[in-house]
Amino acid sequence: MSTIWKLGVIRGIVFGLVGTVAGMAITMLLRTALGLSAWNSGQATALGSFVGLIAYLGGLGAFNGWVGWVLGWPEKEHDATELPNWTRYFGFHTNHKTIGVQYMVTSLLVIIVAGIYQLIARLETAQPGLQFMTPRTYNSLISLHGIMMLGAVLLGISGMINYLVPLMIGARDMAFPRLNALSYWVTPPSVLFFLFSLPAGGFDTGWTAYAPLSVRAPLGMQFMLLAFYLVGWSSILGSVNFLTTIFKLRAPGMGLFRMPIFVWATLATAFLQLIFTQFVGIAFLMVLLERLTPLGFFDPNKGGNVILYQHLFWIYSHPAVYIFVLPGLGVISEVVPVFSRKPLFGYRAVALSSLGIALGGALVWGHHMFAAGMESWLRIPFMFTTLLVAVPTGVKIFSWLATMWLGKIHLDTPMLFALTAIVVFLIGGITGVPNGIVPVDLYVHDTYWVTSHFHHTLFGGFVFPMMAAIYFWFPKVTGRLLNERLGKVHWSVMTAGFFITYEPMFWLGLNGMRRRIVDYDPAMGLGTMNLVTTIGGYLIALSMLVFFINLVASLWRGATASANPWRSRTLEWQVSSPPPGENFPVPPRVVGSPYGYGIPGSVHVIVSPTGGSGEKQAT
Amino acid sequence: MHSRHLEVKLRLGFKVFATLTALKIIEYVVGTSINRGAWPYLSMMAVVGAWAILHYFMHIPQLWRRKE
Amino acid sequence: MNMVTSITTDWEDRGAINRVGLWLFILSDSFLFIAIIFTRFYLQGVQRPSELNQLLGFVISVVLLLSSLFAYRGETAAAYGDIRRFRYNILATIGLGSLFLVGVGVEWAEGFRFFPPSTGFGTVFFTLTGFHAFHVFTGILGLLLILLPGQKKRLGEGSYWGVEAMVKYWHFVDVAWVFIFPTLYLVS
Repeated sequence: MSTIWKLGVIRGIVFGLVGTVAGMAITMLLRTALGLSAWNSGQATALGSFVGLIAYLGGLGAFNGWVGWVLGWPEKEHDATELPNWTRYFGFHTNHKTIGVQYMVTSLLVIIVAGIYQLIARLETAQPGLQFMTPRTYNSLISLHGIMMLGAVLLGISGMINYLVPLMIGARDMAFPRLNALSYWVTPPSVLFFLFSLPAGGFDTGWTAYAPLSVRAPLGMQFMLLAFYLVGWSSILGSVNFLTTIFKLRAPGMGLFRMPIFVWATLATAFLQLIFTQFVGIAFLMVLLERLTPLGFFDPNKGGNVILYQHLFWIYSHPAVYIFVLPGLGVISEVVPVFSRKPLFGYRAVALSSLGIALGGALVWGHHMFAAGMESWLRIPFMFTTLLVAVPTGVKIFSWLATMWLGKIHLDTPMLFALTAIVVFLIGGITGVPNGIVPVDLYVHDTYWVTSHFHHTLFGGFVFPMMAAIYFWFPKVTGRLLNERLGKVHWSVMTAGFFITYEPMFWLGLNGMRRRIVDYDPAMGLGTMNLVTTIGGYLIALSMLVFFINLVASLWRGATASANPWRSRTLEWQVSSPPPGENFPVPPRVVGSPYGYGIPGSVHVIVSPTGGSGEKQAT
Repeated sequence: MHSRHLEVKLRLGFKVFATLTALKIIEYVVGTSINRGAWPYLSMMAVVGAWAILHYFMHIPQLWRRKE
Repeated sequence: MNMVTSITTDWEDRGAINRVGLWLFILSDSFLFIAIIFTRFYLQGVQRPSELNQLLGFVISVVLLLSSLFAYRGETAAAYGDIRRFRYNILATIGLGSLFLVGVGVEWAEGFRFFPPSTGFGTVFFTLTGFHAFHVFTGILGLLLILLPGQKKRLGEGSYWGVEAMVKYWHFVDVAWVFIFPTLYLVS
């Protein structure tokens, strides 16, 4: 019993429940005092969630460190707990590797739920006619699928970055470990809010929550807004941490142009998160305020303007796509040289292209609003900036191709996933070009063409690279290898499922299949392809099942991994698997490029001056 | 020695504050008397004021200078 | 690439690390205000109701500037280990900050009469001043925290990071107001 009470998460839940009730009670008291009816579900849940969140974090122990610091208590070096090892995943633990795993597991769990939502919705659209679902349920399901997947992606990239970046740059931990743990621990309540959304009436706005609809949508809307607001703060605080870590904690000799590409990608992503998340935060907050107070940002009767919401929303949500894909593209740049046994082609250009994508991606948000009644003189400038982003993206694609050219390619599972990612991302990029051109966009806007394009970029830029990353770094994280045979089954089913799902969607979109509709006219002849798409979706689900079986089975009785099973040169592979708690007792010394595969005498890093274990020569 | 340094820095604070207040007064006069097209002057003054605070009060050069 | 070599050498310099983190947070937070200022111009252009009390706005601007001066004096005193002077100045900052909040309160009372939140200008006015006042409020809380005895002990040991952080935050709130004041009260 006392062990359970020592788990931070249990204390957090108890405190959080009490806080929620207290917050609701305060709302009711305030409303009674103002002479209004005591119960207003919107205001009560909003204030209840807020007070509950603070209480939960307090119960978790998130503030202990800071409170102690303010009051001048002596600093504790480490929590010398006698609890078993697994408990640290259920409490406020500040080691970046623990937090990375927490993020990753949470992300996978959210992906399961959000995927199931879409699988249910896809059953409905497999055939024309209304089979078993009301339009509102359908819209709630697809909206939740969208926004929860985006939340899961943010968690997933935070997981990868948390685990890998300190190891890759030779740091002992993140710059602000307590802040890091806080950024993780605000996400479980946010997942909870996402889950509450459906029972609370769902919302029928699509994941974008466009203003006039979202102001009127049921209570479920509010839970979604709160949930994503929390994820947003988590990602802002996380980005402060990532940037400070990269700027300040690099090992001696790790100059900016000796950093692995994944770290460069993190740099670009973190800048985007740091700056632009504020915009979606304020946009969601404005919707919330308009729902709960007399303020009228989007109501023309009160001097508002609905287009304002779209501007604020897309100023974040377009760069957000780059936030999602840049780490994934970084993963591909890590995996491809290792399995081609060749140096990464054009290292500097690839490193800077991440920043180029970030900069370009910040100036293109208007292309989501070509059909929305945006100021028409903005269309052409946004069209040009949109097409310009293809250039730095192309740099990356050509770099991967040139890296593999004449390389000695090993087709292990991580490499297979990376290859699929390149192909899929390429299709996503090419189909994006017509979207960016105003006259074409006016035609394909809001059709399955756009949905398919978007899923290509996210599968190519996040899902497949994340799978590559999991197969690649799983041995480092757990000390066990994933099963290669199951991995290849997973890869082949997933790749096939992906193409079966999304290529027909291009055709559907061009033939008039609108997105976000529960039903369509049988006379349009779209039934067959919709069925194919649904079957493809279930194939992806099947492959994920294989993947989870592989994860659990390999964790349980997989082959023991050596320190460097893939013969990689980057820093994280030069320590044991799993790495020791402090990563590097002595700061490693970086002396050369991380990608000198096959170059005689090339050394990236010297890990321990006593052991003298330099770089394994890779040929 | 130490305390004289302190006095110098505190006097600098007064000078910055005086400049900022002067800017505020000009801003106020401009804003209340000019009815149209004042925004370029106002934004220029705001930028100058913000720079003064960032530079003298918040010590932004600490970020790229090695040591004091 | 001079920056690279200089950065990598201060491998354990905690103060410099904290400072970078704080500046990044301030950068992020400033975009909150940028978004709301954008909203002001997007929804209302440069319109401004004639009932808006420009003189009061000017007075509270000067009050906030003065509080920034005292915050600067407090931090400088703390850096030189002059704890008495540090405390007086920070107390003055808190007092002036509270006075600023009272001023905003007076304006809100006027605003509810002339341009309520359900009108165009009211929406942006209450949002912008509201978010700013929230920052002032948290700044006051933070300044109160660094007056607690725990910080006194640290100052005695020559480490004043808590003071520096809170004072920087306070100045940032002032910088935000430097832009908000003309945005709301002066353009037309």
